[in-house]
Amino acid sequence: MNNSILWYATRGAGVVSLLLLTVVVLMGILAVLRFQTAGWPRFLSSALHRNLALLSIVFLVLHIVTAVVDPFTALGWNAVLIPFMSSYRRLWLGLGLVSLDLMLAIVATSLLRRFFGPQIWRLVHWLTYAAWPLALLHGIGTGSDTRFGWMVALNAACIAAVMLAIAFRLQSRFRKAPSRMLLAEVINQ
Amino acid sequence: MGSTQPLTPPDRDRALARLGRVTTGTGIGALLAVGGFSYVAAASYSGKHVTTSTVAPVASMATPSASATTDTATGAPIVVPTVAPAAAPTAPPVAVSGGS
Repeated sequence: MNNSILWYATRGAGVVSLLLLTVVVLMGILAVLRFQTAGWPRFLSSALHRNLALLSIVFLVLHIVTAVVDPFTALGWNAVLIPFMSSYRRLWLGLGLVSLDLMLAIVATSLLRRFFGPQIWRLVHWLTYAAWPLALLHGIGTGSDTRFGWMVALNAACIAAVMLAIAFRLQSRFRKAPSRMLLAEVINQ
Repeated sequence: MGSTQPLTPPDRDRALARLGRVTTGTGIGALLAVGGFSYVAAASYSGKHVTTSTVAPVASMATPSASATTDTATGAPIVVPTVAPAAAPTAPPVAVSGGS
């Protein structure tokens, strides 16, 4: 097999993983909207959020496997299991691995939620806010396509979408806060 | 937002079927996107094309023809033939990739 094909596949799978992860993060942040219609009950949004998270892990595995078997990088499996062990682009690959480990922790606690309880699950789920920017930094730092216009546009779109979603969520929280306080006062009276 | 009526079992079945279709569609779309982005990545940057060579240093090949000097005793010119360097073996071009 032509070595370059593996390299191209690594880059393609990396981009798709980032896009899927961004969609998963957006769905998680905007879950506060509690969107539902007659044809789309609310439980479908959380189920789709879970399915897409698992799908993003699948494409992440494709990204990693194609990178490891590419003879040019000669990463070896140790480098993709232990962060900052790689002699090749140690910092950027390490950031990607930390992001992967955080995502695996999130997926594991979500699948085993009944054993951990909601508090630990929620605490671990907050790690998403670290995993996503680490993945983005990994791509920007080590990606071969970072300097090209299409990748700049994709990165910018991902950042803008997540920033807007966070702003929207914070705004909706602040908007709810006075009504909550008012409700608490009424209850206390 | 939307209705809050409890779902009937047929509604729930339909919703789950819709979830399956959306998930499958996203998976297939993502797989096609990997191919598409791989193609775009290859078109954007297919790797450096470098040529390695085992040619001797330039200084040693500066005089490919015969060089002349003078005998200090007789003053007669001495022609020192030099051997033209053999064709330098050149390694085949190597496509170098890097990063992800």
